[in-house]
Amino acid sequence: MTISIVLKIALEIAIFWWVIYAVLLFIKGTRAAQLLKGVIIVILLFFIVQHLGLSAVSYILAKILAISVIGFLIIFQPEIRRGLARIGQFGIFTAKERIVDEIVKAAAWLSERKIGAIIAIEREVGLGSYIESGVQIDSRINTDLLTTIFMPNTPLHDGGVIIQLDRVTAAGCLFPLAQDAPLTRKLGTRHRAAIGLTEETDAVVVVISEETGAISVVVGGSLTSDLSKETLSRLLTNLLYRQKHNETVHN
Amino acid sequence: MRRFIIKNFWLKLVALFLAIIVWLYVVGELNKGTTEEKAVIHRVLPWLF
Repeated sequence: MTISIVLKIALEIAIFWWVIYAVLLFIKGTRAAQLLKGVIIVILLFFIVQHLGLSAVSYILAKILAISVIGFLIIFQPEIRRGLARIGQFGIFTAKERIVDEIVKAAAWLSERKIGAIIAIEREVGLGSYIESGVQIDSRINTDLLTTIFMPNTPLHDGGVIIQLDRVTAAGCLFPLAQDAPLTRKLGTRHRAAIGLTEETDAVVVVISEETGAISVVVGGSLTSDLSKETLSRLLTNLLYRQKHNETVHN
Repeated sequence: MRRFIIKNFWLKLVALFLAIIVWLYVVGELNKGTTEEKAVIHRVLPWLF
């Protein structure tokens, strides 16, 4: 009997563990992670105060925690929405093909006209802090939208586009520049920004060169350039939907 | 397997700690546990009940 109880307890804790781990992984790298740290500290304080028998402080903290549920929903609304969308993604394989297709068509169009562009596609590490540096769009991925954003002399053409799941979340975003000295001499700002971002996150970044029109993909600080449409499509499919552990980019 | 354990190791540890805290709270505050469950927990954490 005791063994079955222990197994039941272990199973319940394992379920909680998996859910909490998934949530922490989801918000890792976003501003929500910082907010959650604060919330956890308040909750731990509440437990300590309760066990110490500090009834007055415990009463106040209990009221604060009760009200904070509403605050939690408001503050974490973008993350909750993104999480629910991600849950709903399971089994929807055609949507992934469409996403890659739209990005590849946009990259090809921009490349033909030598219009510089930088498109960052979020994976496991959140890009929330970079989204805040740009202009929020939150639109379905569409080739026309991506190409229009990067048209010269338009307000949003400077900076990068961030894609989360199947949505263009923001444009005109600022990415950190790679600091490696040999790189700074060889590559332009756009490519350095792509490398800088991928050094700090696991995002996949597509870059179109303004000088040559060459299409490049950057992941994990590593750049592969002069990609054809077909290679780009294959690469993005592998990086976004198949390869989770192999960060090397192959042609 | 080793790679699976090492990847995001500290995040997993924090998640486990939080999972145990949440479980203890639910069982303790909601009195969800049976007498047998409480007996098992009491052996591990005698100060809890």
